[in-house]
Amino acid sequence: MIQLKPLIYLFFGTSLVLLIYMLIFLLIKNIKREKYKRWTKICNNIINNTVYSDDLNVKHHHKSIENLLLIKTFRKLLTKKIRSATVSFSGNSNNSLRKLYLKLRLDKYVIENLNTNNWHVKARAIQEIGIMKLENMYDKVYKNTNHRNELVRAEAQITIIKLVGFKGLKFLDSVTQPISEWYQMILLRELSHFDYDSFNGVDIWLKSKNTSVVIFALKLVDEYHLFELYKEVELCIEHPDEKVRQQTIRSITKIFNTTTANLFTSIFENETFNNQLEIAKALQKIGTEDDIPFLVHQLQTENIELKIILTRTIAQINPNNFETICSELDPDTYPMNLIILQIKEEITI
Amino acid sequence: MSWQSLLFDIFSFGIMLYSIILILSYIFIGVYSIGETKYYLNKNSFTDYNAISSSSEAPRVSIIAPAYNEGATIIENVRSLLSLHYNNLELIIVNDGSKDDSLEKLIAKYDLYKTSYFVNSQIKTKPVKGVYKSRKLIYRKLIVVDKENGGKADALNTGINISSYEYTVCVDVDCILEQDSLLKLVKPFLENTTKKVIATGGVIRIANSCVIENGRLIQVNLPKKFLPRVQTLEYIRAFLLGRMAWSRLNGLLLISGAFGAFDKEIAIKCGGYDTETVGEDIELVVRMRRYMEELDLPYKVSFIPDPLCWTEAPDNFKILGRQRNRWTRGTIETLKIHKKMFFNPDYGILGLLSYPYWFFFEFLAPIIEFFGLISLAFFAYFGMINWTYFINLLLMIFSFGILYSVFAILMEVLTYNQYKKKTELLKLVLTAVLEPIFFHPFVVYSAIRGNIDYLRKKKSWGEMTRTGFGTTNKTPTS
Repeated sequence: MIQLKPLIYLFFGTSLVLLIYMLIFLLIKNIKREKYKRWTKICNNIINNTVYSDDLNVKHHHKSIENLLLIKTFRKLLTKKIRSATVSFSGNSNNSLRKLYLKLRLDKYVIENLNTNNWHVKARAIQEIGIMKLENMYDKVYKNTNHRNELVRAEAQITIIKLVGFKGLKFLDSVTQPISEWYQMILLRELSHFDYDSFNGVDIWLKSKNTSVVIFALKLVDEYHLFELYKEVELCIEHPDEKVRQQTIRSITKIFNTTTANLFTSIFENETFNNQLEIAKALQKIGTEDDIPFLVHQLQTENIELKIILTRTIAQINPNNFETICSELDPDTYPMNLIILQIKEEITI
Repeated sequence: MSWQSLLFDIFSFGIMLYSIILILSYIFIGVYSIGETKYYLNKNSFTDYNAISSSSEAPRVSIIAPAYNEGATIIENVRSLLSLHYNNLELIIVNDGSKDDSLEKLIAKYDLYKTSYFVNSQIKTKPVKGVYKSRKLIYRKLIVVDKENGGKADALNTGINISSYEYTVCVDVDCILEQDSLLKLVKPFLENTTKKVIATGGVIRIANSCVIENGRLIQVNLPKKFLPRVQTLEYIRAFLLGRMAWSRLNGLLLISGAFGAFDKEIAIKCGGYDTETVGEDIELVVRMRRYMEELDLPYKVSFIPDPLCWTEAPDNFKILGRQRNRWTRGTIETLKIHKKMFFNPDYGILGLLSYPYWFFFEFLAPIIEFFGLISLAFFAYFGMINWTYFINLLLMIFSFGILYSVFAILMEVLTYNQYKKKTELLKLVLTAVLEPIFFHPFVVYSAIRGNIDYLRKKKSWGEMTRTGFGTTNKTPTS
């Protein structure tokens, strides 16, 4: 028989220890809160003087600042405050805050953190480099753009863009790790903060072995209307990855020419269902009356979702003539009778 | 050795072995969840959710909210859902054959008109009577579907049929959602590069005694009444420890029906919600997982520890009993439908760990406890019980229960710390002590009732269930 008493003591004892730990944690948090309130006031004061009076003479206002900066938690708080203020302000205020950061020598700690093995500390340091625009650390950050940890890698990629704008995209030449859709969205947003400057390399990224790089390159084509890359983009329509082809359909629609609709109709039947939907939607934007016979023919599909989209496409290509075309769409049989009714209502609203 | 003592030895050994495995599982879950929560919090501190809310690249989401006789609060609830921070969104309210004036109120408030909307019934449902849209541009995201009553699962399936976007978020219409809840719920779908995320869920919290104004949560309070308070503790344990650990193992079986997001394509391919079960939320997740396993496609069911959704918990034993009874039946039904996976290595973690865990520790636990009590009376009658040892065993289980709850409270304090008043924390700890005595026996009792009801309904299964759905006052929620 198992001796139960030791287990009872162990469980009750551990509960008690956890409770005491919880109370001590809350007590310390409370004490810290008071201290933090004081420190926050000092930090806000320093930042306000910098932003509103361009006064970087911190020692003049806070004589104890040097001692305070030796305390890690204060330093972290001040850095955090400067970081978030720098993100919020632009122009002169942003420049003054960066000068303040450098004057307080906060950058020397960022190097320490950059060299740590703790992924979130490292990622935070990289983020800080980007926000404070510490261009001298470009190489150190660049090394991490293909880091095995996703967050470190992503922050490095974002920071590189923050530091040098479109030129920073050169990390796409060598990145082998995947870039998630989330981070692709962040990268595009970072790029949108810079005035568009022509950039090289998209043609190479479109041929990358890393499918996420190809998708991102296609998004760049889409976002910046890179008409000159039409031929390279067109080649991606044969890519083995379904998602790449899907993004190709979306992107090429943004830079379409007179042959694009034909390209779509030629690949339609061999495409996956999702990509057929994508093509049908794309033709709503670029299709012409010449494509209507093809679309009408495709309405023979058994898939109702596709039928709806195809009918909508036909209607959008020529809304004025939709009534006439309807006679070719089997308007008296289910489900086309109901689909036509819906689409007619859509185009009249 | 007499047959009684042989039986007693087998019984004692069995109970002891079960308790040890159960305790070890809980210890593993508790410890294993720490890493996942810590990882999430660290990672989340870098996240700027404005990136999704402002991006045209953000995934398009259809919120589906079934409503049955919600006339008293429907306008408020819809307003709350319309105010969520998300751009690429459509809100589908499914009026599941309400007998009150819910639809009329919606038509009047949102200036709705009946459209010629063709419903593509990819999932079979009860007939749709009408699809309504607003004439006002500011309500262009709103779609109201009026259909014949068919229960919550049927209403959700109708919503899936109507939805035009790639992700569906199923929500109980009376839940209070955090403003950024959708942004947080959708992010996992965009993050994974190697596995397809098929469903995501977040933490559900208890809203009793909280201050709510205009459909928004203004102030978090610990429930004043004992029953909702003990459920608060239960939810903290289940969400912060249980689901986080299962998420880390990629073995999560349940995304709460109150608020969860699904990949629509996979949900449709799986046939949508099962209208024949009362545990439609767990059943759908299990079926979606099974589908991915059978096709050998890499996938993940994601869970985030942020409190995203606030719901009102039952505050009397009658309603609580009904809820737990339904949960039990839902679990049994799901386990039965997917019994093929039980210890089946073809289903990986799902077959070897998640399913057996639910079978042994969610389904069997109350039954073992109940029969344990009966056996105890039997052996006591024959004078075979070593009472000192028995009391020690009870004390051990009691002390472990407290330890697990205290650990959950500690995790709550260290992470989200929603209950900031000193007295609230004290009350929560006190609740942890009282729960095994005053609440747990009732949960076991309700689960046994659930098992009995399940067996009774088994004889005339389909019809009775459907009638049950149709005659309830509210669309069942879970």
